[in-house]
Amino acid sequence: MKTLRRLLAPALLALALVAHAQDPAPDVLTVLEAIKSPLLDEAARAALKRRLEARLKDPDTLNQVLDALRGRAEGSAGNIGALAGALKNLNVRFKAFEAKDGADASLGLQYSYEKSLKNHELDARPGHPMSLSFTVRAKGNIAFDPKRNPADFLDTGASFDLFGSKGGFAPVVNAAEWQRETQRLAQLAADLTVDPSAMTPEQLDASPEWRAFESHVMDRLATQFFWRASGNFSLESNQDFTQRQYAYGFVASGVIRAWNPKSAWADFNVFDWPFAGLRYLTGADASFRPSGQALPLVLVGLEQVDPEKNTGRLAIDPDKSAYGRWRGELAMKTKVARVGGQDVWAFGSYRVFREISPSPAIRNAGLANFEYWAVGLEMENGLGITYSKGRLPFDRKAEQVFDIGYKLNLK
Amino acid sequence: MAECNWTNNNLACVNSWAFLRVLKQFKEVFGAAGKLKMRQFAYWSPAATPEARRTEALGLAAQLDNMFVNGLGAKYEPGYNRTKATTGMADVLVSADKTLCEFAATVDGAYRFTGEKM
Repeated sequence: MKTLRRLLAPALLALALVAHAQDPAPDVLTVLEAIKSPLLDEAARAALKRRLEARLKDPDTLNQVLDALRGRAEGSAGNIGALAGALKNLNVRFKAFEAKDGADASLGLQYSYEKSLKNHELDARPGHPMSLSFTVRAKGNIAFDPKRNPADFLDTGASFDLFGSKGGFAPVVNAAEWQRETQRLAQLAADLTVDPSAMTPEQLDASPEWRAFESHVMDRLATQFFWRASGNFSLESNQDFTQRQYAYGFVASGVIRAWNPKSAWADFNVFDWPFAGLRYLTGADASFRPSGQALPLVLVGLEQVDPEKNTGRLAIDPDKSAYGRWRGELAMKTKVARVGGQDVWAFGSYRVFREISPSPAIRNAGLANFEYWAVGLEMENGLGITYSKGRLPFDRKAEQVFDIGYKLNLK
Repeated sequence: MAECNWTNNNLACVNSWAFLRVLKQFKEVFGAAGKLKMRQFAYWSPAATPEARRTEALGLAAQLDNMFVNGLGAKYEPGYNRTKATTGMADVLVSADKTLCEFAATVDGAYRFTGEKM
């Protein structure tokens, strides 16, 4: 056990230190203000402009400016404030697209928007409530130079979602008393750590206040079964819409979450056994303790695809009529170790697309079936590594990609 | 939706932090948790599709609703019911860069906790 810990710890600690060293100072707005100053001579102004230009090529810097401007817009009155409020669910981040041919990276945007517009309560009774909602979504990558966009795929669509949840929390006999005590203990734990330097997370975990709250709530936690059935419509395209296709159909997905660690669903989550072993060996867990929250999510869909302008496909089979396909996804995430005071998480997903009754031309060209999987490690500070293999619809050939990334988690 | 103001004087902040922490979504203490982003939560898998992530987010939101209403005795604010509160929380949970403070503001808009002034 000690040998394994000795092998793993230095590598992961080195990754953490590299990530920590990458924090750029958010000084663009300050430089912008300084350039306007009448006290500057032309040489100093030109030097500041050059510095600003260099910083504006860095997506992390641009994202910090974007966040600052968004904060100002949300705080302002009138039309700007109203527009910022309406776009609260729009996530836009600048991103550098690495060209495959070794050319300079191109700047671009990654965007996502997801919002439920209409909701209806189908069954409000406690026990097994059921809901209906209508959700719109959009997600994609747009490179300022489209030729340098390696992830040139936009997904825009809407879905009617029927969903329900069963279990998760056992009813309380004396509800009023339990509520009062829970609220008292939660408040106590929060008051104790209002000053973030007062305690470390580990010290809070070990404190009598948190332990009382945790055991009080944990006694009531049970296994939750959540399901969702969706009628789905999607427009899949590249960023200039020269390639596009429509997909519409039915998607079912579900998760089981054993929130209580004493649950049999947790003990017998065989998917997490290898990771529970690693947690035990690296000292992250004191005993072999599989997680009931790491059960894989399952998604299955059956849909009709209209390849109206899927030029890659139509070049092989000019038949523009819609075809059927089914698709599936398995996704999972679990903790794998704790190194240098940080949790290390492992994650993975597997996706499959199968065309129903493809033509011989499509089958021979290898366009009837697509498989794609991705696995990776991620640390709390945002440093991560992902390995992906396979291809998705629109991809002409399978690729193996290593992606080492760092997401700035400003605090 | 209420504005985001991370304080232990607001029961939506206290309860969002305490219940998500007890569900092992993060480890941060209260004072450091307001700026946590959704992509730092345990349920957020970088490899999952947005479709799968929404199912995960709706499930977590449904669990929180269950705990708030059946555990803490919270009531829905006027204009809200279980479905609207759950999908509102899920809309925030699927947004990578939204913070726990912003999530708590959504919770504050949807629920009235015992002891909270009207």
